[in-house]
Amino acid sequence: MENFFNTLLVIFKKELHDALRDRRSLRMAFLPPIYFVGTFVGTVFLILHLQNEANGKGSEPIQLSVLGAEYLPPLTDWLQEQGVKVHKVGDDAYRQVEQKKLDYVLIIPKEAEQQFATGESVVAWLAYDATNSKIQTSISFIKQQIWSWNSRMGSLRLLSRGISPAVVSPLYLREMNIASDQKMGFFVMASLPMFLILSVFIGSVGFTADMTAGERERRSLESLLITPASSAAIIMGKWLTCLVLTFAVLLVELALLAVAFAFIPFNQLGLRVDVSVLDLLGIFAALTSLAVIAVSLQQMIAIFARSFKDAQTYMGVIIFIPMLPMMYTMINPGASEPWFAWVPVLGHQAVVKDLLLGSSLDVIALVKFWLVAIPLAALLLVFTANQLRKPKIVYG
Amino acid sequence: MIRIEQLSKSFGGIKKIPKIDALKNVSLELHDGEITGILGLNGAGKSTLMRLIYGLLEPTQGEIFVDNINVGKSPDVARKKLGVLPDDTGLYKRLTARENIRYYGELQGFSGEALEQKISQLIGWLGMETIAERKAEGFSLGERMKTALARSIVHKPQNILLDEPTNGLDVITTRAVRKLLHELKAEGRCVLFSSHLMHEVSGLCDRVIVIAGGEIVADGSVANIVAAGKGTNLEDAFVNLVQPPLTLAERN
Repeated sequence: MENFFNTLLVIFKKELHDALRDRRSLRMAFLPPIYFVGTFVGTVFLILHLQNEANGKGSEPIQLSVLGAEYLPPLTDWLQEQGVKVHKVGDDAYRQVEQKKLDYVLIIPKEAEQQFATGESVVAWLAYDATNSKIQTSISFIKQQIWSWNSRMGSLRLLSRGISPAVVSPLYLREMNIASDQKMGFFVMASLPMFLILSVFIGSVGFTADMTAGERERRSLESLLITPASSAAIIMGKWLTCLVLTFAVLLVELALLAVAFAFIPFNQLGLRVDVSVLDLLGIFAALTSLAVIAVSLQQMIAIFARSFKDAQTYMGVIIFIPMLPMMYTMINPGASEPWFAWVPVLGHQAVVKDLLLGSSLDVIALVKFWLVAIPLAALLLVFTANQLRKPKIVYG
Repeated sequence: MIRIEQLSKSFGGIKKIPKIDALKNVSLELHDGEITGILGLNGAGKSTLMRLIYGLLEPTQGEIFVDNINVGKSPDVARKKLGVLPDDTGLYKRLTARENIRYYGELQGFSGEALEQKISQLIGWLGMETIAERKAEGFSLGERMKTALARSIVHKPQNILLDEPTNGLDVITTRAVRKLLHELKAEGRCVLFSSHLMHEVSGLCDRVIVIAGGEIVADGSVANIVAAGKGTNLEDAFVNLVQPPLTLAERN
């Protein structure tokens, strides 16, 4: 037994030493967290930007070119009161819109002055290119303001004739959007557990491939197996190395997230994100049990690969395995059942999500994770160790 | 000492793969303090025999004992008594030559000053001083071979198996390996090595085994083999042994 642990330690030390000199695998392991967190921060700021545009705040005032503004000053005055910057333009405004020199133009005809004075309906034109998505927000804002001016004017005219404006408005529809901006922010936060779980699964893929398929490719495996080192000690030593490296990848990612959380203005998103360092450590604690399974799975797959390239192909499967339970949560969004804790990935996702949204760490769930992880990982490791000295693996 | 009793090994024979008998009922004993050379054409069964001895292949029939330890029953114990240089073996490229050797020493259960001394001794014997602290990435064939040889015998095994150890080496390196083999013999170890170089076998070996078609066709001193093969030198005798002269019927 003492022999077993000595060998395990020798293998672990050598593999770690070797791995830290393996630039290719180091890049493969530590760049994705940077991409992940970068993408996350980028998405948050994109949403903030879109939101600011939608609210019309923060961005520049909406510009409106008007041809014939002098024929209907009450309208242009109203628009200006509402924060629209009105520019007077010449007769060729419509052509300018056609030639895309102007984004849109409001055209008020000469008759408008007369028609407005006598209480007739004025026909004005708003010319714009509907395929230009950039102007959508401005156009809808302008339309909305024109409609509200319209109804105000209508009401005033009715009142002056002694009729209640309510006569022409049997119904007022007021919108109350409860989803508002929080939904978007929630969506961003919900993507984090998936990122983290994916990192656990792919964190040490390069190293695992190098330690199993790489040994076969370099033809060093046979010599290793001629030593008295037991197959279990070899596999466990390599497994431990990959596990430690996965932990390192995860810690780097969580540290980057901690920095990101400190700088992202979540309150602008209408989100109250209160993720402390302790919460992040809780996430780490929850994901360690998943890493134990993920690394054993990587090894089992990689041992059947003849070369590093071969292994990379096989490892594609690794990305799909966590996807399967996640599909379930996509079909049943928001679902969280007690039995989730017994299913790897599903349970981890729920706990990580809860921690990010401010709940405290569910210690009972953690215990359940380990009750599943230990036998499962042991099973995978024993299977892999039993393959190791088979002629198919050594000489295949 | 390695004892092989009625050893047979066949491959295939399941489904559509034709059955190949790589070794047929081979019995022999390799003695301590002796260098035994094993000669045979490509595919004669030399590597199969070695792989069976170090237990990475399982015999179809028969048993192997390394220092009276049954390889089939306790392979890990038997491997402690063996030092093996397999054909076409690879190093860990990101480790230095010394680190490569040290890893194997540690896997054999050695550590500390005793191990460092052994490593330095081997580096001296094989003339590896200039490459000891260099990473194995980019080693020449000779440098790789010397490192692999050193790591395979770092634990001072009683029994040493070398599969074509001088294959592709230059004269100086070949001499270093030969010197090492003599040292091992003088220490009373049991050395088995395979080679295709007749002059090397005749210059080095106390005993020669000729293997053909999975069977031992001749076994004895170089002089015995030359006599058995009815040749004037080892090469002629070897060719006669592994390729019997055509009979009259076959010639026609």
